[in-house]
Order: sequence, then C-alpha cells, then structure tokens
Amino acid sequence: MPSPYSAPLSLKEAKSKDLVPCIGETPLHSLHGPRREAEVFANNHLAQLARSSHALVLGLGFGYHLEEISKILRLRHKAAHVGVIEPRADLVRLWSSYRHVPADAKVFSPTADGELWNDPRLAAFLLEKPVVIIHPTSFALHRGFFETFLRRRSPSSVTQWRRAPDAAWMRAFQEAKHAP
Amino acid sequence: MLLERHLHLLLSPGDVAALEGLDADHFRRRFPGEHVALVSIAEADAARATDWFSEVRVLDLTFVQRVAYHPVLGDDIAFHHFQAVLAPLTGEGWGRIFNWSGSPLATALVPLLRGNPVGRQARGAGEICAEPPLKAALLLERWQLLHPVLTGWLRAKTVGQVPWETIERDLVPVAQAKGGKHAHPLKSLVVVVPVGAVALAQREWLEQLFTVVEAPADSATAWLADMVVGTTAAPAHPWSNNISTEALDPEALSARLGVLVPRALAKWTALAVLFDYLGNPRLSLAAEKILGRYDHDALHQFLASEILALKAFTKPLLEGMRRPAPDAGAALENFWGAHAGSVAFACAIELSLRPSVVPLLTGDGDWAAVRSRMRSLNQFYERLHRTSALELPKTDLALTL
Repeated sequence: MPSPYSAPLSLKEAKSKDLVPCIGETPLHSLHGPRREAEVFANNHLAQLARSSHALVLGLGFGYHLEEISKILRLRHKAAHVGVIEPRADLVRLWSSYRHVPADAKVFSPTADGELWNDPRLAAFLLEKPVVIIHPTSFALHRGFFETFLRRRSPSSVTQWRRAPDAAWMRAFQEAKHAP
Repeated sequence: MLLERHLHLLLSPGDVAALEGLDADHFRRRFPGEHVALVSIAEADAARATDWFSEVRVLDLTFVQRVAYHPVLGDDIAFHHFQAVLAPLTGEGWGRIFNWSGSPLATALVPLLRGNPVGRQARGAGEICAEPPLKAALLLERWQLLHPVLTGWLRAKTVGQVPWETIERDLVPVAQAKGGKHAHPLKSLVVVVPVGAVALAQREWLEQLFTVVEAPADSATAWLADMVVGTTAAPAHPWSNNISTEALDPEALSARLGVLVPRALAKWTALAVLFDYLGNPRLSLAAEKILGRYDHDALHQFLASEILALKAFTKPLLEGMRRPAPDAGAALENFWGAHAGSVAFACAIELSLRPSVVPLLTGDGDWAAVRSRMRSLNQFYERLHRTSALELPKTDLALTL
C-alpha cells in the first residue's frame, strides 16, 4: 500500500455533482452528498464552536466542512477564523484552484523541508487559543503526522531546544559572524 | 559606487520621536547612503511616517514573547521568529549601526551585526561606548538622573547637531523673565510669561523643563513653574517636583518650598555643567545666573548642602586615588547611585569622556580627571557664593582637591 503522502490524488464526482478528492482509493468526503455530510459534521461540533471564534481543523479535504464551520462561527461570534492543517501541498493547490477559498480561512502546510511550526501565521493563530476539530478521514490517512503535531509541547530544557531545527541556523549564523 | 547602508536600532518607546529632533538633511549629508530602521511594533508607524528611512523592518517582540510563553509553541519557535527578522540583518555589512537608546535589547543585538556601532555595545561581561554623549546618557540613566530633555540633547550632540538656536531662543528670555518682579505666590519658582509671547511649539518645548501653570481666565499670563505640577507622591526624576494644583495658595505652599526649591536649584546646577559640556558656555552662564535669582536663603542652604556632598565624595575619591583597587571603583559607583545629585551629574559628564563603561574607573588618569572635574564644581560653587554675596562655608575642599 503506498504512503498517504505519495498516494495519487484524484477527483471524483459525487452523486450530488460536487467534486470529492480521493487519496489512493480513499475519498475524503461522502460520495453521495459531501455538503450534507459537512453540515452534519459541523453541527456535531456546536458545543466546541461556541467556545471560540477560532477553529483549527486537522485535515482540509475539499473544504466543505470549513464552509459549514465558518457559517456557525459567524452566527455565534460574528467573526470566523478557521485554520487548517493539511500535510499534502498538492491537495491544497487542487482545492484552491477548484473551490472558492474563503477569506477567513488560513491553510498551514509543511514547507519543503517538512517544517510546519516555522510559519508565523500558525503561531499567531495558536495564540488565539482555537478549538481543535479533527476531520476523521484526513486524520486516519495521516495519523502519524497529526499525532506528532498534537504531541508537540514547548521544550522544557535547553537540550531539547538545541535539538530544534534552528540549531542549524545558529551554526550557520556563527560561521557567518566570524567570516571575514 | 554602491551606497552604504546604515542601520538604526529603534526598539525602545520614544526612539523615533527622539530622532525627529535631528535635522534629517544634515544627518544624511554626514552619513550618506540608505538608512534602514529596525523598530518595535509600537514605533513602526512613527518610523514609516518620517522620511528618514528607506526601509523599516519590524521586530514584534510582544508576539515573540507570547510565543515563548505558549505551552505548545515555546522558546525554540519564538527564537525562530526572532531570527527570521534578524537573519537578513546579520548577513549584511552595515556602514553604521546606531544604537540610539542603549536599551539592553538593542545593546545585545549590536555584536550580532557587522558594522561600526554608534552607542553602547556589549563586549564580554561588560559594555563599551565610544561616543561620550551617549555614554553620559547611560551613566545618568544608571544613576536615575537622565531627563527626557537631556536624552534628546545628548543624542543630538553625538551627531553634532545640538539645536542651540532653539535652546537659546527659548531659554534666554526665560532666564531674563526670571529676574522680573511679579506677584505670584510661588515667587522665585515662577517665571511669568505672557501667553501671547510664547508660540505653541516653543511652549511645548519649554513644558519639558518647566510646567505651565495656567493663570486665571481674566489674566493675560501663564506661569512657567520650575516644577512639575502633578499628583503622584513619588516623582520619577529628581527634577520632577510635585505639588497638587489645590495647594497653589501661598500658605499651603510655604511648607513645601523648602523641599521643592533645592530640586530646582539642583536642576540648574546640572544644566550649567551640561551646557558647558555640550559646548555653549554662554548658556552655561545663563543657567548659573538663573541660580542666582532664586531666594537667597534657599540658595545658601542648597550650596551648603552641595558643598557637604562634595566633601563627602572627596573621601572615597582620594582613598581610591591613593590605593587604586578593584573595589575602589565600586565604592564610588555606590556613592553615585545613593547620592543622585550635582556631584554624580558632573562625574557622569567627566567619565563619559572615557571609552570604557564597565569598570568605570580603569586607571589613574580617570581618577585624576574626576578630581579635576570636582575641582571645577567646587570653583563653580565658590563663584556662586561670590556673585550672590553669600558667606562661603569654611571647608578645606579647595586645598584637598
């Protein structure tokens, strides 16, 4: 079975005529009615969404659930801020080219070197204490990625801190500083 | 030819406002090239509004700090965002790096950058500062003697732009008005200036040294008092005297004048020393004359206390000169910290002419220089006694120093 990061990405048409992305053979939304499914999904998280106007969604899918979450947030808080963590950059590109990207949505994807945390927009978003909502299909496909993301804690010692990717920058900086 | 690029570290509140006092054209002629600013987010708009900088880079320290304290994000991510702003600056060779405020953050950043720093820079366990005016500002700040007006003047002196024209235009008439007769209950503390004679810009400037006490509506004058009228119990600066506006009647004030007048006298003593250092002996003399126009009893008491402070200071000074030891400098440092006054002010001026900041007294030359400055201060007090026809206290200071 191919890895979820390298499995081919394709689009299928649901019975409702909406487009649904598939990773390998796995569709990311219902192939019957993705919009109806997203509506039910968002309504299942009403209590969580009442707590904050910021929601961090793990898994982009094709954005149907983001639109429903955004609607609920606007009704409850008069403002909606939806952040999405999505490990596959090609899915983000596909989504942004086929669907209307909501103005209040921010997508955070790992950079080419695999680093997600260096994005200042993500740090600014997390400082707003968003509620975390898991998109089950995406989560199941990229369980390792999302679990690593959720396990992240602030380093409690300098040793841990130095293991961070920035240690490489520190070395480069020291070399640059002592350069003639 | 490639133009040099200069970096200004403006990370403390008021840094940009302080720059606005300088003549931008004159500054650009002296330091030709592009000027880049690294500013805190609070100063960003002000920096962009000036025409000083071709580029303004923002370091959002509040964000970095919040990220550092976040339970998930933490120090390493905070550092990443911090270095993302700084990394492009560290790779570049700067013509000059202006550390105007000398704040701990800006001073810590200077050694990370490549170029010729102007202002404080961290070196080893201590700091050095090659520009005497900025070093004087640092010492005065350390001894809680730095005043916002002085900060501006000392920065301006660093780049040879002290605004003498403005200072003279505003201070000299005030000095002249101080000798005039008037009926205000604050008597010698007040300079009466007709409202119409003071332009708005001039008044804003004067309010930093004086406080405008508005006269009654039917009067055509405002009062510039040698004190800050406020309600706080503990003034932030020795020059900031506090009286409540309710206490402006003569009866209630008389008890407080004994406290307030010496502070005003200390201010003018310091300004007399400072103007001389900044290179305008005429204004130094004007400040000295203002001192002579205060109530003579108050001046007599003030001068006596100053001479006693100077006498107390000579003991650790001479001890240190005889037996220079590492703790001798510390003894004087403690003295200056504990006796924030004219003696400390004059010492700050003298020590600022030495290149090192820590330790303050590094050799025999430094001790001798401070002694020489103290001799000048003693002569200043003697001169004040003579001009005000006051009896000089009997001390052996002239001989000792």
